[in-house]
Amino acid sequence: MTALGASLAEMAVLLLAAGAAGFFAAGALHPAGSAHRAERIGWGVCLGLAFLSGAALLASLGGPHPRVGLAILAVAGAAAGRLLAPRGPASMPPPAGRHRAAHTLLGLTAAAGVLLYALRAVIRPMWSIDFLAIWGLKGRTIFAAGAIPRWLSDPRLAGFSHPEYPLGLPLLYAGASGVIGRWDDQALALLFPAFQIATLAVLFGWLRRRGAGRGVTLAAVALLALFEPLYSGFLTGMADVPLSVAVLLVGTALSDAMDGTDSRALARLAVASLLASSVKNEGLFLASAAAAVAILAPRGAADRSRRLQAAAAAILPAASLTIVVRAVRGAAPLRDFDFGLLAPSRLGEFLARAAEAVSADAHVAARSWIFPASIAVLVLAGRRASWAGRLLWLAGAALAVYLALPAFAVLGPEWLAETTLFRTAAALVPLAAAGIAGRLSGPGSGKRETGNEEHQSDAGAGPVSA
Amino acid sequence: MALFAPGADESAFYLAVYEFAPLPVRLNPPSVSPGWLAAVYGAGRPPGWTAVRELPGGVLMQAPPGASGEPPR
Repeated sequence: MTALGASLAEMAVLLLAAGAAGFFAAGALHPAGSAHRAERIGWGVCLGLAFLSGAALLASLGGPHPRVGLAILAVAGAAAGRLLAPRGPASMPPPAGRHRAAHTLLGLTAAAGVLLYALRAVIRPMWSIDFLAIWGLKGRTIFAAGAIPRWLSDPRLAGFSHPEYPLGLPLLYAGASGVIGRWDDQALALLFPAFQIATLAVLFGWLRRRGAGRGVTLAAVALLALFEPLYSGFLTGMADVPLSVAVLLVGTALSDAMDGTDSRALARLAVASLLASSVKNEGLFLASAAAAVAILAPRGAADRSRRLQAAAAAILPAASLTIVVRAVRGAAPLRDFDFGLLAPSRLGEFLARAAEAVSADAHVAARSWIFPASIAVLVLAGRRASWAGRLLWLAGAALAVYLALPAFAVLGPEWLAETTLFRTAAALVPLAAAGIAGRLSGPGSGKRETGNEEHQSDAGAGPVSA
Repeated sequence: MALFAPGADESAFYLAVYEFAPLPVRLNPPSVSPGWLAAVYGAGRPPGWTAVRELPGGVLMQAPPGASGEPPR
């Protein structure tokens, strides 16, 4: 076996071990049984990777070596998964035998998408500028220093690396490197196919649990697996892929919490809110948007009390984490943006910038028109289904902000739109895929679970017993 | 670590920053703190600095102890 092959195998073993630890911990968030199994796998991968970040954080605070920290977190997570496990399984009927060949083909297509992304990711060390200057720099620094050096927050020395960004991804790099004992920016790229697998598992599991047809679900999974604008070599190493799965977790948990599908839906939403806000600053915004969707979205099944609970579960963890981090590390300004443009005295300047932003956004959208056009057609082809529509509201709110932000860019609207709009919008595609596939499955979906879970309708559902 | 490289663009700087981590790196700083190392490329050599090691196309130098080093011109 070559040195690269050995490194990749070592990283794959670490990811399997972390994923297994996360799977046990996810027992606290998902009932046992077939209805939640695929989602539990996806959540397990995310929690396992969060354990790696946590192990690096513990080590940076003078705690144990990341290997020991990972073991401690894995045991604690498994204990939590066992002690807090919802009672009773939630199962689904086995899939019907119809269209078996087509379903197999779609499954193989999804597997090919994962394999192709894995190849794109590991073909060479992670190389994008944002990896070198931001995410990789911080991860490598934390790993090599065994701490979070103060200079990483010093704008004179590290302003270019955005001290205001959350450290979840750099800590993940540092944690994985600490466990294997070296910095290997080619093997670390395997983290990204792991995020992709988690995304696809959650997408598949959630759609099936909420009653979407197997064909529609597998088609969504296969198309997403092949979505190269997100799963690209360029974005490997940056925070967009991790954020995309975190946003999907927020969206699916939000819809579950509003419908009261099971007793752990609110807990999932709270954990998803934490994960999203630990990856990118947008995570805090998306958690806020989720709270707004909980309160403002069309009524559907959720009553007022459930809406408020969902809103609180969405926003409080993300806001609390942000406050704690700012208290510890100090507040750092958003250096790319000038929100002073909103001052009344600068109205004229703002309007000119807004016009520039519209033009720049349109230019980016026109260049890649096939993607927004396809998504618009698919959204319009579906039928109203509030359980799925909420995800589209959330994606729409995020997209609206991404379109508006270039107006505030310090380096100009064209610069921000050209460098970030396409990739940040691409990170919303898993969320949109879940919403679109749900709408294509129709309003009669959103309800199928058996065992101790009850059937729920799109118009209203009570909590299940799990 | 100070990096003096005429014509170096942002990409070169980011690569240097990444490769030197966990040491902080500054590109063409106006002054260098005592004890800092400097990777000096091009023809200029700061007077009074100690050459630590020859590099391909440059030299690794150390600023004089106890005082800020004058950067290369």
